[in-house]
Amino acid sequence: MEPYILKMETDTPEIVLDSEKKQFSIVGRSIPENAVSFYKPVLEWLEEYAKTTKGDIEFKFSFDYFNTASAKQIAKIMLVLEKMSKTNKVKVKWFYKKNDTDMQTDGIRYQELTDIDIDIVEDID
Amino acid sequence: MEDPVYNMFSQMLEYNVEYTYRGVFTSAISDTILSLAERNLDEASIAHKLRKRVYFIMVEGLQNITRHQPISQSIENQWECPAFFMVQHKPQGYYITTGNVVADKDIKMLTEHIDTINDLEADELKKYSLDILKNGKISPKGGAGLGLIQIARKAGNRLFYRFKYLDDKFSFFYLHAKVNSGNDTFDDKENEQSLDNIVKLHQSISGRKIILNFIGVFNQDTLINLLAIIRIQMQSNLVVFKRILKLIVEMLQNVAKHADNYTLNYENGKHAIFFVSENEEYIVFNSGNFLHKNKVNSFKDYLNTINNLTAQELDELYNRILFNFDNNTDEHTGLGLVEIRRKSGEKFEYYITQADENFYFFSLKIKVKKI
Repeated sequence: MEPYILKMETDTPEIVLDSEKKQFSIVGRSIPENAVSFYKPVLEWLEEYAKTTKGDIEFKFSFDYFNTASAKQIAKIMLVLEKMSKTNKVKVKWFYKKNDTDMQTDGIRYQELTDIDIDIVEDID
Repeated sequence: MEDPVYNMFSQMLEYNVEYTYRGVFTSAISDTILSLAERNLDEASIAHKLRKRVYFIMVEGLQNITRHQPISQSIENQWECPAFFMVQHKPQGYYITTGNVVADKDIKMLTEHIDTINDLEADELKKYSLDILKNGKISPKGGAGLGLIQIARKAGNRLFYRFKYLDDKFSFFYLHAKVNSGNDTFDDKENEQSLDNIVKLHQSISGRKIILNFIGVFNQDTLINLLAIIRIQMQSNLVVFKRILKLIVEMLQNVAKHADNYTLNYENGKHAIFFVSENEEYIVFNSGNFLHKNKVNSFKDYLNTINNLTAQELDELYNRILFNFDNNTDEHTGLGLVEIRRKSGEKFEYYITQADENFYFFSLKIKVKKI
């Protein structure tokens, strides 16, 4: 599958979806004006990947911060990953910076509200 | 009860304020202010030549402020100190005003310099600037004394100024430049009056301990630029700071998404105000925008409902909306206000005031406890 890669911008995160390198990550600040259209290609890519590929997946979320519109789209990504986890081994790593209890709590929220294996990890650097 | 945000907004409108910023100035902040102001200019339907002249004066004015910020910590009332920048768009032209603290010892030199500029005709001004360039008369702050001449040349009008006493060492210096939009005759009296109004307006803003104030048309660019300014201006510990950024994002995106278009100053758009004030216990964020009358009642109900929820109920509501995709558009995530209320930890204060037959002005005040 063609990888889907986006560079980080002032209001949007870096996105890497690469099946060959087995890299799946969203990193940075996510406050787009239109979160639905920003995350649409991500969701479509993942749906397609789930249909065509079997294999383990480790998805990394490492946000600086995100707006509520993005929070909903992240929830959607989680649901796609949850679906994938029925047939594949799926692991989510949710990073938060030291002392950023808000980001930590957000991770715990997704952990509680979905059936995915989510690790909440303190980001060292 | 009267809405202080709407009061301030109306006062700004009365003086045709298109854009104003008050706060700390650094060159990074100036760049951001410039890009915000430029955007406002681009949206106004004005002649290219006029736009270029206005832009030029803004650049020079901002550089002057950034360069000439003496350390003025001796001044008892620090709230009077932040520099400010204002653009007014009136039928007869654009007015650009800068304000900043200057040392009293520089007043004489400044006054003489501006008076000289004002006495010269266009061709003499050109010669005067060449003279200064040749003689290399460099001011101690790195300016060549040319900034003011260039402003006067681009404005095509004389410059207006005031000094306001702050203490025995410092004064506040207002500089007011006008760019005519057409060929109308120049009216000194009107311009003196217009500067007096600004001084008055500025005093009233200062009295409210406002650390940052922005008026203009709101969109995603406004948000990005304001966030950049706030990032530079505010120094706080990580958790509170991020919480504040998130709050501001939600507030401004709420405005950018939900405000109704309104025509002001010959421009239709999402006119709004955002300002930040501070007291010993709290940082206070205020936003204000127009709403169509049809939305008012249901919106009021929604606000009251959210305000009356306990922390746990808010959390539950948040979780419910987070995974509910029935109405999945960006226009109505439904989470913004819930998040604002959760993150601030305080009930929000709001006002809804009738602005005209069809529109209301909605203002929201969010307090965040300093830690």
